[in-house]
Amino acid sequence: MTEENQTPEELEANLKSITDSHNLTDDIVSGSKVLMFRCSGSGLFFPADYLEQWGRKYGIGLGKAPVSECLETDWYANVAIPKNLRSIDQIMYPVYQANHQVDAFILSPEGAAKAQKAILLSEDPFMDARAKIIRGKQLENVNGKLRHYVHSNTTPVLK
Amino acid sequence: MKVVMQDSISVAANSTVPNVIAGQKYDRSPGDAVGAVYNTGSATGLRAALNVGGIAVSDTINVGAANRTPVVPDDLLVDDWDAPEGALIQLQVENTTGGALVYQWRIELVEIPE
Repeated sequence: MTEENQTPEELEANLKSITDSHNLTDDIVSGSKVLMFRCSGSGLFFPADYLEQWGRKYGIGLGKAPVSECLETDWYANVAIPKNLRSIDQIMYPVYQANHQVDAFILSPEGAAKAQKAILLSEDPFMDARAKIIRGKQLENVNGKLRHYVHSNTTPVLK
Repeated sequence: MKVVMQDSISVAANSTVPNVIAGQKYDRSPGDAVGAVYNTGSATGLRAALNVGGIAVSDTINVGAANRTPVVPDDLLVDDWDAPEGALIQLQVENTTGGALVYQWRIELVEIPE
């Protein structure tokens, strides 16, 4: 059975067998270690119950196999410019659901506190916070066309 | 005969595209036909509605976030709708999110034999 065909319960059981074999379960239960999941694409961390709550709290509408909820820029698509432009922030490259693999990480509580957490779909259902971050990254890309579009659509400030 | 149109479009944040197939070869049905629409979105937050000849075939429906070229029949939006000759096919897409998304669509029209 491939990873894609495994249910979240089977993946969780598989993970438990690994943590048990390394005597990590006691550490996790006692709180001396923290289980987290990391997006293999962005490196951002997801909560410990990410796998367990897949399809309930996380990943709604993303299929049965647990994957990363993180978004990525579609550099191959056209920059989206609405007909009725209300804000310069509406101009950006489209984003897509990358469906990256998530990997289990056992961290120290200090490491878990410092780990950069992903903004979850449930926390940001209309993508406002995530789009702002991604757009900022798109503007940083000197090879992207977004800088050109934004600057050509901005009224110059006269001194 | 069966005719097919397929394309993708970037839909800006918090905006609506009145008709994604405007300007396509068969935005008006070439003959009396039965149609089917398949679509996918690059992430959750797109909603689509189909009107044919001024009649609403579907209400606004959430689009799946498969992020791929539409697969038949998995990515079906609505099928078995009548498209009389010359009727305008209007596929309206709304982006409810704060980020731009890609909408991919495919329309199949099968001519009704006389």
